[in-house]
Amino acid sequence: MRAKAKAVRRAPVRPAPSTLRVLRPGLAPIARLRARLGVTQEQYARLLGVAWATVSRWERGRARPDPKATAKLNRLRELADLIGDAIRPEDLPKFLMTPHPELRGHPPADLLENEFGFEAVKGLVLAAQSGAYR
Amino acid sequence: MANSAVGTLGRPLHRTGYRLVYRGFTDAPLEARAEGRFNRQDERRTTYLSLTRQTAALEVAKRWGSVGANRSAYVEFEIPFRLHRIMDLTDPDTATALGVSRETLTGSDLRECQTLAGRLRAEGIEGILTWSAADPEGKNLVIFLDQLDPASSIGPPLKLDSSEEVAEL
Repeated sequence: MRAKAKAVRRAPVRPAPSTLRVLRPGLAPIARLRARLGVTQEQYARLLGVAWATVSRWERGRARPDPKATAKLNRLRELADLIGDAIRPEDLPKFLMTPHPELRGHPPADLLENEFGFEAVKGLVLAAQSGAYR
Repeated sequence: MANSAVGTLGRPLHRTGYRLVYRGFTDAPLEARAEGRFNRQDERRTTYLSLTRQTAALEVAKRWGSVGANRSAYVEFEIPFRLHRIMDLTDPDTATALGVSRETLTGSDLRECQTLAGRLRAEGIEGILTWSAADPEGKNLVIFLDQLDPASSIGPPLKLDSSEEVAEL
């Protein structure tokens, strides 16, 4: 417990959310992905299914995502890579958070919890990019 | 309907079709790399063309849901084709003979369309002319690339100048 408290005290100070764009090259991966997605901490938290304060702690280095959250972050990163600029970058948050009729009304972000859902979202993206009509 | 009767409904179709693909997929612009209305995930040798540029644009936009597509990241192709055994499901008599309706062909349940496609493939049909689910005025041609008759042809795909685009996605 004491060791943990020490680790917390030694944690590096992370930039405030408002400075993310200016400091992007030096950001930790979690904050860098958020900057790339163009979302606020609150939206990021909603995408990942965690509390806003949790995202804040991750970005300030005060806590680390658990394995489940790490897996979701990795899927989110992979999905953003896959989508590329097939939709306008400013539309990416809306795409991720809006219920999609081809995903049985689920927002894509909700399906990143497991591999099965992730495959469904990737299938949709590949279809939209390669012209498989629905 | 007896299977043998299905083949007699196929007819020739010589026209030009259109499709849009993301710029990362222009090396094989005919290949639908995922499940579509008339192909299951494991039936990749299928391509989808629209009979107008407008319909092609709307088809791509529809798959992205409410955000639409980034038009500048897509490449538009014009694709001539000469096919000999096309099933025209927009023809009321043919649709009735096959027991399908426009609602079936544009509805949200894909299983019936995919089953029908499998049945027509088995009969040696090269493709299906059908209604677009994205454009109420539009028609699409679904081509089973592994079913092409030696006398039939498709392509080569010609890139169109994006400055001539007809629709905002």
